[in-house]
Amino acid sequence: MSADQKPLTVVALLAGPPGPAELWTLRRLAAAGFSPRVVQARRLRKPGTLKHLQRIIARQGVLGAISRILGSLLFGRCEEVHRMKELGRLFGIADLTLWWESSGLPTESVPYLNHPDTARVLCRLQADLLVRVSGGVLGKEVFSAARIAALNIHHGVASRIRGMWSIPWGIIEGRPDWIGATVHIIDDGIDTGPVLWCGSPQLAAGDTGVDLFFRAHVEAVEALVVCIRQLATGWQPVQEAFRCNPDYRSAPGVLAWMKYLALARGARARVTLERSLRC
Amino acid sequence: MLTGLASAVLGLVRRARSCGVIINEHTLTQGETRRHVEALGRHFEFIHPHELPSRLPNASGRPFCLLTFDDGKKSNATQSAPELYRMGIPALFFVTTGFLDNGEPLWFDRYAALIETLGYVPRGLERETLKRLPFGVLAGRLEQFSRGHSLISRSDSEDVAPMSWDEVRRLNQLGFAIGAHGVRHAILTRETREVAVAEIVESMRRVSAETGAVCRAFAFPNGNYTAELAQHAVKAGARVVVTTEPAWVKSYDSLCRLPRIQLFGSNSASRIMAKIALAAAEGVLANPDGTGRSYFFVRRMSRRFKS
Repeated sequence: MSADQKPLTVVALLAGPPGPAELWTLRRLAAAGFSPRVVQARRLRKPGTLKHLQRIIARQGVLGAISRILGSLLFGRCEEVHRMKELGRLFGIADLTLWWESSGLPTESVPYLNHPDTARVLCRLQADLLVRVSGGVLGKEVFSAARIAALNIHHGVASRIRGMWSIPWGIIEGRPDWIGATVHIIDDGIDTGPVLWCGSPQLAAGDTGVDLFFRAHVEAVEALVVCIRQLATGWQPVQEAFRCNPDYRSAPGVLAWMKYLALARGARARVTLERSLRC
Repeated sequence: MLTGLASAVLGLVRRARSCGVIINEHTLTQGETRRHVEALGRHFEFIHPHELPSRLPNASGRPFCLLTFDDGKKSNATQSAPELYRMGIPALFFVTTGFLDNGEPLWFDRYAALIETLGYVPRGLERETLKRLPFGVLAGRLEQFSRGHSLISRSDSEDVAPMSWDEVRRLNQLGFAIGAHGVRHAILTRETREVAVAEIVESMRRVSAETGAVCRAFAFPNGNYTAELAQHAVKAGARVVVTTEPAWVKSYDSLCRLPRIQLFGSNSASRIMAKIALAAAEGVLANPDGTGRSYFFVRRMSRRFKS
């Protein structure tokens, strides 16, 4: 960037307190010199679970919705604690928390990310680039508030799999081609926007879903920094048409959870063990 | 009693098309080297790595033993090699090329010094956690925790310092084989494909350049591997690629993924034999690469795949 150029205004969108992966992203953005401004939502989504439930039923059917809720109650919450503990170890949460507390990054608080206040705050900040660090699906009024683009890291290979929990789904369904991460521009769909970067970690015996998420995230954050620098220079990404219609998966149900745990969270899965074969 | 048990196991594994064992050592004193060789020599015939391809399809006769030493520590050249030479035992030394070039202690020796200095293991600095990180992140974390502490240095110890390239050449001239073991001892499956392949290719190139002979062997640092990386090692010239799966070498094993049984200097003769006997039953010993007993499934799948 030349001296007379105005520095980019990068705004990071967060929902709730940042976890280890989110802190890693924020610290890397700050270390790359983007001085991100943070817009932090106090909660994940608009209050009122009925609409959310209706949406799940419409998408997954009644049985699917019941399975999803049961899966979350029986396994999801407990697994999330385990996952956060593991990610905390891998990302070095103690150091990241210290950094976050002393970073002094300017933070704006909004009720939730799709609240009208968010768009107002983004206009006031004159955001050049938005980075969705955490939170749910963004509404158009939010992601279109950025002058250049709104970016997201999808933890999965977007040309093959869309939606949440893509890496564990790859383990469960034996699809190594789903495991990876994608940096893409946010559009109306879920993980359907133009792809700026896509990569996959190596799969090896003993790798768990958390290991793969961690390695994919570390690599994706480095790629995100490169993408932001390129976008700042006026780079226009070319959207390549996906060769196949990507699959879509949402939160897991009871059976998916049971299979994931039976596969030792990936350590005993075919997708990881098979990588040691065929030589 | 233990000798009887070992003999019985040897008979069984021979019937199960077992060819022999590859032993993975790190640092041994002269006395420990002698003790290990004497214990192994009772049941095995020591071979040179170039004999491996001809011994693999042949499970008849006395089982073989190939001795390997990892990392390239100075004590390999000053303690083990002279004793092995005196006893006429061949061996294969895997050297970490960047370690020999810059002389800086390997990451796990720096880690040991850091924990000794701190007196406790901070959260996020557990050895098992560090082994799951890419090398850049791992090195950064060690650096961050080392800041503000003067570490207890062991870098003058022959079990921490590297041998010199002159010593490597001398070992080669004495008839020992030299293999590559990565540039930085990074755990290659944690790296991106490009970095992992570059580590393999560069370390093999460096060994070839320093010894003047084509490097024909590669050992995965910490034992973690994928078939894709093993194939890259073969493409780079390796004829023998070894892991740390604690099992006997079987006649159907691929030369690019050979198991090795890890021994330590403190192991007594009876413990060595017990460990080797247990390794005959795959899935009993845990793989020191951190993947536990999953190698059992890999080897079973591999057997099915081959047949």
